[in-house]
Amino acid sequence: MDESIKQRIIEFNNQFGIKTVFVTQKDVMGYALGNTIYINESVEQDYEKTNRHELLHFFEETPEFEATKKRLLEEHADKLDDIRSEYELRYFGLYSEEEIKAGVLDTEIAIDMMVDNSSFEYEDGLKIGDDFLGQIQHSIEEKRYLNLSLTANIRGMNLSDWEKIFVLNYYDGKERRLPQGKGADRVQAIREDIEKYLQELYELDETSMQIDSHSPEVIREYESEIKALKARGEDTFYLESDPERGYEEIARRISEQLYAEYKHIVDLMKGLDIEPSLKSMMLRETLTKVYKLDRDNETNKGKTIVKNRKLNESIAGHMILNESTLQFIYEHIGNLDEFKNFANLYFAAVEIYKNTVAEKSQITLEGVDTYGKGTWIKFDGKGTDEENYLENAKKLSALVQDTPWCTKQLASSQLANGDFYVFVDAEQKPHIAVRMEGKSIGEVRGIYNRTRIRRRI
Amino acid sequence: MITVKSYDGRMVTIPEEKKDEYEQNQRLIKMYLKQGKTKEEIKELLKNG
Repeated sequence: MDESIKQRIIEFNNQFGIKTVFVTQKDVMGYALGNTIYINESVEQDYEKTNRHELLHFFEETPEFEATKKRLLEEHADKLDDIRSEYELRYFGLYSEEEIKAGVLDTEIAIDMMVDNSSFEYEDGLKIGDDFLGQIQHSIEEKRYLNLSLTANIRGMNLSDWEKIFVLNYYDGKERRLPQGKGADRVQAIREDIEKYLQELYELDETSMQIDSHSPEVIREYESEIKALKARGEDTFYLESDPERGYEEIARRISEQLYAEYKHIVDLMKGLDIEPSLKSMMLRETLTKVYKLDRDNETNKGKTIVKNRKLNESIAGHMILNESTLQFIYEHIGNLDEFKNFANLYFAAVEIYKNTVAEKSQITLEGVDTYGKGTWIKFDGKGTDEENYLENAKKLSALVQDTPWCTKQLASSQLANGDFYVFVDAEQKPHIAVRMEGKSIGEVRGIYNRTRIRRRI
Repeated sequence: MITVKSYDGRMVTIPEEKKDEYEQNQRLIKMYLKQGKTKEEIKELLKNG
């Protein structure tokens, strides 16, 4: 079986939180068990089609599937008897003719239409299948977002909006139970839990944020660093001769950086006069999620991506949480109809902050003529301004959120190694990034392609 | 539940414990079709088994 097909199937299923295992087993095309789809790679078949078939079965009990199935069956109502009759031989011995006529296989019929497994030609079947899986993927992603849908009993509590959001997200009914009792006593107990939780989050130490040296993201970063060094014509012997050492150094460096970033956010929050419930929810959010704007995907530009953060694996930087973004989030929590979910609210806050960064941070580089096309913005790194480089990292990350540059996730790591320059046009849009490694240029990137700079702006 | 091939090469989802019986029936269906039997004749043959 082609490795690229395997990889495509694995990545496709990952979007739904489903694992994939390739097996060799006589006469079975595939099956599903628990949270895993098993595909038999020793049988000659269309593996992606079989996978899609298994995947659709996974979601056959969702309301979205019921709606799609109903639509498909209604659209083919005039042919339904003939379609069902086709299944009599195919399912002989499993279901009687009467059962099939009564619709016992209608779920199979609907799935077959969506994977081109039906003997009836139906042009739109695959597209309907794609739309259905898109809906499922979206509803799975929605569950990753900070839950802002207050239930009726929480809405009725005598708490602020953010205290209610705390109640919705913090208590899980297992280790964390909603305080019992009524009225003021219950409210008091909830507020004590908020303060206690916030204090726990303030006191997290670096041991809880140690990245495993064998994390897939560390290994990918190691390979990126080697590639970048080779592109600059630099020697990679030190890194390549001992990959284990390379992984450990990268893991250690990023662990320290992420902890420094987190502590910076904590120190900032301690000084802000904002509700403890909002502070605790935002700290929790940055510890458990990675927020990203997907500018790399041609069909999904501007799509917000929220992934679960694993503290021992994820190397992406923390959320941009400062006075500006927190204030915006606090003030606009009542406008959820406009934003639809927390991720959109968060990125709207970052956009506002980004505009202030570009306006306030422009510099003139001596001897550099920009021909009126735009300006350069410099972000001092740790070597230049150790006291403020983490704050600068937040500004830099905000400024480049709409670019495909990894800086939006790794700004503090990059500023730890050197200064950073961004060229923005008259509308404050970034076009060129220059990352310094000490006093040398580490990397220069443009906006339209990962490796080349656009010749004219 | 597992996915196997039907007599006409389509994907079919069946209980794993029924696999052997299912495949035997599908082999018979294929054989009868090669013999030129109609669908109704095949169903009767399989029922009478």
